[in-house]
Amino acid sequence: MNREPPKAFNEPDSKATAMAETSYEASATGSPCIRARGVGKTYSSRSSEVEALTDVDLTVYDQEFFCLLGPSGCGKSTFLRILSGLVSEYSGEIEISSARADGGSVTNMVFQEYGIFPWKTVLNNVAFGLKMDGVRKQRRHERARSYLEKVGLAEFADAYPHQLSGGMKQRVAIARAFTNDPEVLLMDEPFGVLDAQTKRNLQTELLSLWSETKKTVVYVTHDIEEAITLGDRLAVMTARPGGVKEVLDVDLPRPRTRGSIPTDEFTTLRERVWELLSDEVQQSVTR
Amino acid sequence: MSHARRRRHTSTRRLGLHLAPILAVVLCWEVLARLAILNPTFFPPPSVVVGVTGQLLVEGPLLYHTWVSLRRILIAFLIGATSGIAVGLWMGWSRPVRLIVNPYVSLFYPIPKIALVPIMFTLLGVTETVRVLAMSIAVFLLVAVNTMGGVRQIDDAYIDAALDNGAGTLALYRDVLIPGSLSEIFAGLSLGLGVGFNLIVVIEMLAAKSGLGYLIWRSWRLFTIQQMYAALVMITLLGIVFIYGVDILGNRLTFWEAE
Repeated sequence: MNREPPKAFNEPDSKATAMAETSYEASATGSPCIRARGVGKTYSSRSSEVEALTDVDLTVYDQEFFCLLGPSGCGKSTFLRILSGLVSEYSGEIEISSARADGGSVTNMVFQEYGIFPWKTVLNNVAFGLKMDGVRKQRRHERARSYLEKVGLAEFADAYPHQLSGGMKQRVAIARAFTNDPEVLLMDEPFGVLDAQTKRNLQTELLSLWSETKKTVVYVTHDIEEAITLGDRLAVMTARPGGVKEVLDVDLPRPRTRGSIPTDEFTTLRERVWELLSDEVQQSVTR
Repeated sequence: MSHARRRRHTSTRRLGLHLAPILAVVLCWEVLARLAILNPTFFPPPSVVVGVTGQLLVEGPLLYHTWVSLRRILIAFLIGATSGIAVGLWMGWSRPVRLIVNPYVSLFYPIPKIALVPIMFTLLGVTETVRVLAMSIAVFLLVAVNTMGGVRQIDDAYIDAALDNGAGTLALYRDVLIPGSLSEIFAGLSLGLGVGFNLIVVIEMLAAKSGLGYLIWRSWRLFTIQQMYAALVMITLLGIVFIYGVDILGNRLTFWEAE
């Protein structure tokens, strides 16, 4: 499988002016980290062609928590896979700014189905990315252990995934992503299959890890409240073929905990997003 | 602790459940033979068979023939298993390889391998190589087909995760494809051994001057029935050790699938 990461660019400032021209870009600060221009993807099989994405224009800024919200099947996961390099054939342009010179990975994914290996211990799962990068055993285990501690799984280092609950498995996946220390974290509905309580706990943990490390996050979800709770900005996508319908600022104070989010503003935003989304959901259902 | 003890407890019980019917048959046989309801010339009581087996192992030809069969099985299994795993993994992962190799595998897979033995003898002579090669092919086909299936059923999420974390080809095979298909690989090994055992015994009966199959057939023809049973006991023991040994090893190595 060919896995060329999207090409990087290193002069974010000169492009920043061009960015302002894009009409539906919500206001944001910082230098651009990811720029997508006219990105499209068509899956073709012997009998048919399915256009999954069309003409996606997006800019995600450094250290931003960016949510992609859309009806199921709208291609938001496809977009994430393009960013990760797992999907290498697409139209349009993607640039991911890379400040690092140490050869570490630019992006790293957290999958909905965890993507942690049942045949490896928790510790070896978390250290897997570093192993692939050739980091020596002692050093990679040290780093893996420190993140396991942060997600509260220190005593499960030698356990195997089948001994863990769903929420714990996803903690392992998140620990792996942060241990890899990529510039951009790509999260594909990571909490989609978890129960409400576990989901809430993991959201809080993720936010605290994010504010500690200040990674750029692109977070795919179909859950409006989740997108508002987590994101600095959110993009509402259209039904298939997916495109960006609108980008909204989430002007809510941080840190956002259960009690600290102003209810009125939250509700207003939720209604607004729901309105934008409902046509698209309707479309994806009736098709 | 208690978990391990419980598991050991259930496994001894399971062993008991397996052994009980066998013991019952042996016991009936013993009684019927002793009472001469079964003709003891053709059905010597198990106690006699065990005695004869021990005696022939020590001073007769039994040990030699067992060793010959064991060697054939080991070599053939080693060749068939390694090549089957390698080709199966490759076919499972690479679509072009699968498209090229699979037709040949599919062609040979359903043919009873014993039917090919005369052709192989014609091509390569009635040699030890052919005897071993025939079993290797049987093992190879079953292992390759099962391994390929095993690789193809691996959840895409694992492969995506490995690639996303920067796994190269070698790491992909070592860390994902092999462990991910391990239980199917072992299913193939077990099936291959079953078929291979049949094959080697039949080949030894038809075209060999050594081995347990040869000994069974010759003993039958020479009417040394007790020796025939002794050889049967040995081939059964080999079968049990190999086939269940592989099953147990497979279960141990794929412990994460137990739950």
